[in-house]
Amino acid sequence: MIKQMYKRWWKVLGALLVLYSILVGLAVPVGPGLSNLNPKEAKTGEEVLVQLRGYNTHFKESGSSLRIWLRHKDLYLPADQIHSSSDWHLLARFHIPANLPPAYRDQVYDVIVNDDEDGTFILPRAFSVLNGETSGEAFELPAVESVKNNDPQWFNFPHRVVLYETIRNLLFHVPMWFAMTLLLTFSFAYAIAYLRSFNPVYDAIAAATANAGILFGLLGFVTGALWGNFAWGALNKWLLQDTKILGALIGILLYLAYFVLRGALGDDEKRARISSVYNIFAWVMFIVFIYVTPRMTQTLHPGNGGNPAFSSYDLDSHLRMVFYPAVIGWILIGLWISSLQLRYRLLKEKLYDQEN
Amino acid sequence: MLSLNLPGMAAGMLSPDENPDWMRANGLLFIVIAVLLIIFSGLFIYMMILDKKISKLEKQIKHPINE
Repeated sequence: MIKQMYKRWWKVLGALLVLYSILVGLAVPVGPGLSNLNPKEAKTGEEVLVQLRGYNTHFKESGSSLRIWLRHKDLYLPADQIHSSSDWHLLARFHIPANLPPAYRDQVYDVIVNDDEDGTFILPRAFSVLNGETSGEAFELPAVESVKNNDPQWFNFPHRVVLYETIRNLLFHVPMWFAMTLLLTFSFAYAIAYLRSFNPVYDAIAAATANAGILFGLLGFVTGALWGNFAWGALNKWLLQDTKILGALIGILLYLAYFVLRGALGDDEKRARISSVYNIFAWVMFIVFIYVTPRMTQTLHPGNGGNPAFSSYDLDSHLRMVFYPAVIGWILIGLWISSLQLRYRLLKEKLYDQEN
Repeated sequence: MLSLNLPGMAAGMLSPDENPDWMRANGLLFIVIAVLLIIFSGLFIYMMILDKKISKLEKQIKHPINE
């Protein structure tokens, strides 16, 4: 371990991975979606001209492959005329049948768009069909034409309502916590190693990795607060009420106390022994607070209630191609910072020994 | 494609000339930039503090307290 510390390759690798995650993470567009429409309602028996605004769409480029439906349950009501004035703007004319059965009246419909370039995308619960004219004619569900492809034909990150472009924060905010967890686990392992061997270098490693771990914890906390302020609403509504955030806050405070403890104990061996024991308890508490309790209760964080592992994050295969390198990169950067901390601590101890 | 006679197109409708990138401003991309700025300024401040500590150590090596 100590030998590897002076090698350069893994530091360069870490920096390159982080650079890759930032460049690709910012350059890849989010997938197609609808951002707005007007009007938002129509009565049965009416003919309505709906204007739709797309986001990262290719309406004009897709030409005649463009299709639009209003959907409620099994009813797909196609637009009978579509006109796209640009790639992100289109007009669709719907004829809402007068003989629509009661089950489909006064309902909120999804708007579904499909074209060859962008695949299928949906603006859920966006258009209301109100009760207007009625007609006794028998109603037949219109046949749904098959579409060529459901997925965009270009590389993208998932388009999520509410998140939009901030889905990229997954590549920057989440790796902070991964790096912190790994660094604190290193710290825990070296605290145990110290208690087994009483080698002072192990204690210095435990302190150095915990120090860098706290840095990443604080960065994760602040970036999460900023992101959540937009995605989850005003900070005061959730920041100190969410189980996972409270757990993270307590965890960070536990480790701050570790450094207070170290500062308070002057004697080297006593300091090393007491803080190593404290470190072990702090790590166990931290794991419980940040990974166990949020799964047992509720939190705003995705992938926490129950036991979903990674599956219910908003990670798709494209995000994963950037997310995992980002995690590895930030972990390596964290180890690099710890190694500087460690070298500082070892030098200081050496100097201290010489002076006495 | 086809020419539509658009009555009522004028009022209350979305302007077709709007910048397609309006969502990038409203699409919260600035939050991503802010998150990156926080991370790097955090790292920068941390490194500055470490730098200062090491300088202090260097000074001590050059001028030991008890000769």
